Amino acid sequence: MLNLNKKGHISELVGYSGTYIGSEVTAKGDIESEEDIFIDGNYQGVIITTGTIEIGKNANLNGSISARSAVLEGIIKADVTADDSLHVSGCCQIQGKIVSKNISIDPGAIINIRASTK
Amino acid sequence: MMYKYLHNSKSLTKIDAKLNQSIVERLKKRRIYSDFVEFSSEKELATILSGLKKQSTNTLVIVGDDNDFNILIGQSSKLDNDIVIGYLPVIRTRISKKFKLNNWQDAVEALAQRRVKEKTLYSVSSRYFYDCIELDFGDSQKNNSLQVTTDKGLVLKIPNSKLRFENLNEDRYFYKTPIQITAYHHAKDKQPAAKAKLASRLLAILSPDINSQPNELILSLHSKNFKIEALSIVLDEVGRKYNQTLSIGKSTKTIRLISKRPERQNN
Repeated sequence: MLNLNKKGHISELVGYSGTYIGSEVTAKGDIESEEDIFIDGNYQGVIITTGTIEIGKNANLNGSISARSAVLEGIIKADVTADDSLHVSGCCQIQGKIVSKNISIDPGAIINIRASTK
Repeated sequence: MMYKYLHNSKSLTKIDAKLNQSIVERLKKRRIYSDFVEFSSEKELATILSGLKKQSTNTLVIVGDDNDFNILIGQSSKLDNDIVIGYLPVIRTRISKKFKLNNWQDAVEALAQRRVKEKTLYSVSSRYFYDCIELDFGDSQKNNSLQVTTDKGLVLKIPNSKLRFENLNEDRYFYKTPIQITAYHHAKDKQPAAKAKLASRLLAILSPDINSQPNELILSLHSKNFKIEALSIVLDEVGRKYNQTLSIGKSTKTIRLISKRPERQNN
């Protein structure tokens, strides 16, 4: 899984073949994928992946997410479903419904959510 | 069987007399009779290819590096479907790795074995590519953003950057979305002089992996087709010009390629 804090900036990753939407990108539409996805820009739409999704701290996301697992930072206004695990970081502002087997929320996160475990 | 060898005299990969002699001797040993032809421009290559119809050549081999290979592929619309294409890379390159050719001797063996496989080409507007193509929107695009649209209707606005499109068709994982777009900031922004640009090009040829690893990644995405809209004329890595609106996707054109790569039944 991509984790900026542990591995440095994603741009330093060698031969990255997943989906990456950087902080300078504005995207509108839907993504359906079997790959890991990292979003650090402005995004509006539905994201469905069987892989992991990571929303970066620069992201501003509006829509809905369905993934195997999710790590959330940035500003998110979305319903998020993650089959295995869902982690809300301390720098995340999230509004919506979150559903996962395992949910963890770091101190400092600004949340306005309805959470349920499967 | 007559093989015609094409060499780009302006290629960054030079073939000295000794190497040339070694290649010819090796080919002779493998009973491949050769005819070396030099070209110095894409236009000249197009003329050579057009003339092939009147000759008995059934195999064209490009000698050089990946840029030279891509120049030939770009002109493949001028080739008859029964002409087979081979690649004799004189240095280790990205495509040579893909073909599992460790050196030029390996390539000669592959040419002698003549395993021919049909490959579908991808296209940028009306120009073909096999492996990948890089587009540069240059300074005239300045601070204006580029718009990228996928076949699924995802619309992305990205800053002026270099775009690389890679054909991942042979990777079964990506068969539904075979083209990967990678957008990255211009390497030249970090290298002030023309000398540095030349150095980076040479470095990219000597170590092709560097070429595939952008300095600052902006976007990475897979799709079946892409449409690009820009404000400026677009140039590819060998300096060919394209219009401001581009379509990138699978073409109906196929080529017959000599390759050492093990054949797969379902491709």
